[in-house]
Amino acid sequence: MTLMPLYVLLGSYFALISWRAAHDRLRPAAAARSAFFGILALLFLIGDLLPLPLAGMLVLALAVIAGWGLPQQTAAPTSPQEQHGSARLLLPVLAIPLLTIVLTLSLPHFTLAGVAFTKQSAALYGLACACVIALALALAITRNEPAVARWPAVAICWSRSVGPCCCHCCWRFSGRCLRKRAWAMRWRRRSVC
Amino acid sequence: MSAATWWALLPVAVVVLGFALRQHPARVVLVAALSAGLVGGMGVVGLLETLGSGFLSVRYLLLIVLALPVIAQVEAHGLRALARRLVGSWRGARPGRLLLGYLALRQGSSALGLTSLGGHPQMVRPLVAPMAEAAAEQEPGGADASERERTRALAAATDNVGLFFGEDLFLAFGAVLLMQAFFAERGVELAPLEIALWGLPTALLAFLIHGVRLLWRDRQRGRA
Repeated sequence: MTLMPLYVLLGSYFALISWRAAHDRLRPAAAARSAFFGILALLFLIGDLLPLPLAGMLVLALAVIAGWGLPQQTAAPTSPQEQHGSARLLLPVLAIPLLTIVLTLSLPHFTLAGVAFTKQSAALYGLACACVIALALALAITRNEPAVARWPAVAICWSRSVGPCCCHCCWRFSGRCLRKRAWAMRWRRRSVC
Repeated sequence: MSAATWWALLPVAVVVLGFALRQHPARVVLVAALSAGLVGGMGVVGLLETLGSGFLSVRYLLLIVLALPVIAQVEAHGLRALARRLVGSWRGARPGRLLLGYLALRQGSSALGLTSLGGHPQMVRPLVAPMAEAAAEQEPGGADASERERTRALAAATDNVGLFFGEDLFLAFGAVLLMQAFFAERGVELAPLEIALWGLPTALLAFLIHGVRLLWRDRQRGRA
């Protein structure tokens, strides 16, 4: 089983972070962060099509941006929500390793479109599927918008009042939310899929 | 040793010097890679090709990034506070004891091939480190900023030790198979079972040494 679908998933995620970083004027080094994740997205999405010297130049650019362009990360401030974590929050965290193990052991017994999973690809697909399922679980439990990363590639998103809504709505919401957060919250409550 | 052999060690010196001077890891790795290409006589195009093919062939290592949105989501809703609360309700909790239990779990599960049951992004950062920090705060005298940093580092090191010395005991682990293939190429036929069995003393010693280190830390802090 080829790993290309996983690379596309991860590349889309990096592209999304790059796009968000480019529009995030509140944090420093927006251009550097956007470029960093944009290059990562390129390498994942079309890395196999690039000439190797060009891919090498992109890797060098990644290292230069990481070494000189990005500011030192600091811990995020504690929000009021963080004071009242319920025990259910453990479920998504524990779901990742447990689901990964279950899928790693079970996927080699299945074929997808006539292609069998090798041991390595089963572990990687298991990890990716476990992360996606755990994210859906986390969003369902917290019943809130994703805290850091939007997930438009996955057609599941849970809003506070509506429940699951479609990918397109999440995409639109995520973009506007950056500029007018308060307005977006009102819009989100009204959205009907 | 010839001069060429000494030059080949230049990238190693760059890495040692870079980290000794507390430079950013990306800078250190970048300069080391460039110096390795230079002393290897690869040329600019050869170096770029090596960098490009090297990155593209191990892209799958970054798949763990997919776990970060999950961790971010639950952390933003109080996971770390929950972990602290859980430990806070355990009287007599100490970071060393807590981490010793995690070490046993991590090393045992890795020896069974369950290496995904743990890890820095999905287990240490959201759960183990906050629990250890909360335990450190319960100690007499509490925990200042530097002690909290030390406790986090100890939690990360515990995961490393448990995984590194545990996974060598699993027969189907890539490194065990690599060792078997390496020896077979040189005419030494070894069964993976033998390699795994001979990894057992090292794993036990690693557990004992790190376990003693953890408990010693508790004792020292208790005395202080």
